[in-house]
Amino acid sequence: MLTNEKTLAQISKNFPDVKLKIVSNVDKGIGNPKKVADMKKLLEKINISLPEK
Amino acid sequence: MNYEYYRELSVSNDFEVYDFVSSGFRGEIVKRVRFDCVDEHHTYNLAFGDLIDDGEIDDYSISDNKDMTKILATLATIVRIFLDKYPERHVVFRGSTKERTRLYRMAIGNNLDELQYSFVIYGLGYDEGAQIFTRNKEYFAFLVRKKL
Repeated sequence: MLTNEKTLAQISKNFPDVKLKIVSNVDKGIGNPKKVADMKKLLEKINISLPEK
Repeated sequence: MNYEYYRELSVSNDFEVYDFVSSGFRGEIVKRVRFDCVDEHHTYNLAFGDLIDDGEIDDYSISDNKDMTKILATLATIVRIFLDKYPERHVVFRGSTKERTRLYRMAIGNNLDELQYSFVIYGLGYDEGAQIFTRNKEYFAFLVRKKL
């Protein structure tokens, strides 16, 4: 079984009410590099270190 | 959470882009959620908004489709799916405006007990850094990871 099919089967099991469809040729665009960079800067600025799990 | 949500989701091969259709007062509007890697510590920024040309997201649009609760529940479901697929990753997000960040804060606060059953949720503050989310406290962003 392909990796995605395995994932889909697992997710369908964990989320039985969700109808999930994998679209292989989705146009993902380029996103918003500026906003991602801004978030990266913010995380660096606060020197994020997560409390213990 | 027993909120109604949009159950039909399209997802990219890598499970990092999700589309769904908001159906409401103003008709059908395609929404997109996208996870972009922010750092080397498995942190991914969540972007959300209306899907516009070339696969891009308009996160300032005001759809006024009268389905805000359903949208928020759908976002929560998508984060759950993403972290189910990638349990080692963290998701960071904030609103495109202060009002939307406040909306996210209220939605988390209203469902905190149930969310904390599966997730660890942090509020990010400029002075305090990352702290375990507390109701009624201001944050500039939120970070979620799955309880392992």
